[in-house]
Amino acid sequence: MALLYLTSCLLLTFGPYHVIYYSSDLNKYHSKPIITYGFLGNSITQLFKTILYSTFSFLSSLQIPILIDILFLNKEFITILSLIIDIAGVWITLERAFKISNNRGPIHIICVGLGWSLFSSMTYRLKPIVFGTYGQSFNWSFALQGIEANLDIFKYIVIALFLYLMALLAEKNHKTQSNHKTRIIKSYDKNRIIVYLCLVSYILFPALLYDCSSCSGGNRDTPSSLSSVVLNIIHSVSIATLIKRNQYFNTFFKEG
Amino acid sequence: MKRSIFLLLIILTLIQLNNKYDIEDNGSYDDTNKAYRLLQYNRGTVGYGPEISSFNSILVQYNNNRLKETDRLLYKNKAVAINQNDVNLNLIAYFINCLCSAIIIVSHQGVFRNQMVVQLNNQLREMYLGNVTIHIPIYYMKYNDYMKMTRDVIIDANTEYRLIVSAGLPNIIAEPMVINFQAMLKGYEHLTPTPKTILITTSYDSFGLVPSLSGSNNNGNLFAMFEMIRILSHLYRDPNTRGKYDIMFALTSASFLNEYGLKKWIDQQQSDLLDSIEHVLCFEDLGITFQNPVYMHSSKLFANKTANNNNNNNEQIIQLYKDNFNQFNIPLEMIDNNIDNTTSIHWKHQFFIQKNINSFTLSQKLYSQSKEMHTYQNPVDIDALTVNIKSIASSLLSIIYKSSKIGKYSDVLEQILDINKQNLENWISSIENTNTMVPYLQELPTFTSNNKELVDKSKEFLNSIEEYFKSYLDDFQKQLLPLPSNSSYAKLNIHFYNPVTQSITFIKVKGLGFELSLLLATISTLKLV
Repeated sequence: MALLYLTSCLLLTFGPYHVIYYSSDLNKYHSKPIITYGFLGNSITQLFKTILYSTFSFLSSLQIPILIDILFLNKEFITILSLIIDIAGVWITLERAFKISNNRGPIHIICVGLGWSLFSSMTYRLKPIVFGTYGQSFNWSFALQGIEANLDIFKYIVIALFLYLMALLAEKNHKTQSNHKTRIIKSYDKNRIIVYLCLVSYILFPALLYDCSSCSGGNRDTPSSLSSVVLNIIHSVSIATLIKRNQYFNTFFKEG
Repeated sequence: MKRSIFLLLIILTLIQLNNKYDIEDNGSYDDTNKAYRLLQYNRGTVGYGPEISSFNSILVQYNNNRLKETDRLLYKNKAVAINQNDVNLNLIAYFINCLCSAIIIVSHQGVFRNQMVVQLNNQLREMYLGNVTIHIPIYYMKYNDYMKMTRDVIIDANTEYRLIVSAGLPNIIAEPMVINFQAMLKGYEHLTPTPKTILITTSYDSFGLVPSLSGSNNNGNLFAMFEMIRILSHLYRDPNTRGKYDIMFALTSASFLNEYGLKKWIDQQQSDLLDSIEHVLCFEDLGITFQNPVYMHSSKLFANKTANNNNNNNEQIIQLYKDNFNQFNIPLEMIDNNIDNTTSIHWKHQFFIQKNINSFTLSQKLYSQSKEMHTYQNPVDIDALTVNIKSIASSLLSIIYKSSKIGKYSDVLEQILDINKQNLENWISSIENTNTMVPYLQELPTFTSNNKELVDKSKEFLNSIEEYFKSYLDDFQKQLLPLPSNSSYAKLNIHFYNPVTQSITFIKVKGLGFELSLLLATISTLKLV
């Protein structure tokens, strides 16, 4: 019986990767190396964060008031900082991924996002699901972890997309751009604020989530709660709606 | 994409509807909730007590109104939680007939007190005396633990949560040990060829139908002994106040098994020591009711071989006791229980009488059953215990210091005889949750890891007795005797079973059908996506 629930949770968590890989024809574009790049990019970023935190954690014992107030007792600050490092990691991974491939486009963005979120799911969700579902006690939080993992796929793909657009902006003045890129940049210019807002919201949202779950008596470190999943869905659906409605994005995906 | 989001929202709605409780509550498998199993033992081929220790069933709360024939189905194959107030033999027999899977007896509301365990003992003793066969587990839980475990779950309406105890099959305790302690205070005539000894003895173990909490059934014997040791050792420490008698203290065990420990202690003593004993003071159940009489039980052998001067000595001793008890306004009444070699033993002193040693037992009990289990028990009255200890200690001092030497130190005596009630209360409450029952009191860890806490507490209890003896007395000795299961003496042939404490959990469990449908729903969601 425990095995059935374990299987359901694992399918819910990791099944979409398989579905996305085959349904979006990623298998036809030799995308496995890029997915691997995304996977390794996330692992190196997390390692870097761990080293950084353990190097500077001694500061908390120094009892310097400013540091205490800002740095180590303020968990939102640390969450935001770690997400900025994540963003930087995605940026670097995207650059490396594009270098190994001649073609740039949405396929590569999706692959990086997929690989990145796969690592995140395997490290953050696999162990609680395996050890939590194996007991006699039934708990919905492990199924909710699977749903959150699916939302994470969307989140990281979108982050990769926004970073790609920012990279295009950086190349705006480059004269050797292709026509379709020029059109993309032109329409991107009009929606720049929205894009930045969406990116910033993905940075700030986890801190907001932490606050909400703390207020409702929850703990960010415990398994997923219904409230966190609902918030995630609302956030993701709003971003998805923006992407869908915006003409530029439609063009991007058609011509990419 | 629209379809997948739609499906996700449906799944989330179903989760929300299904889940009446906070989803952060992860049905915690909390190992700290303890349930205490009722005593199980075999005497010969007859079994007593619950024969099973594990169960996994839905929990139902017993309701006073639900005892009709039509309500039997409510309790079938379920674990029933009963309040201690409602427990009686008829109710237990009713639930056994209803084929319920387990009975959980919950203590009274409020802070747990040892009187509750004593009361439970008296409520359930008929179940053991009458031959009720019990094929279901029966556990006792403290009220606070029970409420913490059930976490405000509406029990009757809830079929998702199950009460689980995983204990395996009960197993017999192989080679239980009986542990006796002895030590002495040496008088100034110790090195003479004919030293005289006063022996003070009592038992430190207690019997309980909930063995893990048998410390709650403790009637203060051990602590009375501790106080007497303190008083006498204080005087014997100073050469100016040392008495002429050697005073030996013996703590014996297995009192409810026909005083097996005491009998074996006597058998193991050298004849020199036994010959030097002038008289033996045994005491038990001194703390029943404040200002009630204390009975001095004495016996004579029908074939009385004691010399006349011994009888005169006895009378002097008895008179001293009466005088001292009168000082504290406690009536002391004499009870003669004459015996011969074929009479079954009821009191501790009768073992010594059989060896022609002058002895008597002080107790607030008028009658004693034949040292069997399942006697009616009384909670300890601290006031009664305090004043009776003072009376006995004062009497002992009168006997030891027959000369006027002690009169000079009356201030010292007053201070020494002042027994701290709070101390006694603390001691008694410290062993409330300790298993002080003989087969479970072990020095060596012979149990499984489930009972590690039990072993640790028992070891602590035994170590504390040893340390107390060593710190106040000399010539400490500890006897470890195996408790035979089929001894012709005492007609033992008795086996006790483990476990006595188990972790109990109340967790949400889903059935096979539900999990299978969840798996199918997940697969169809993925296919749709």
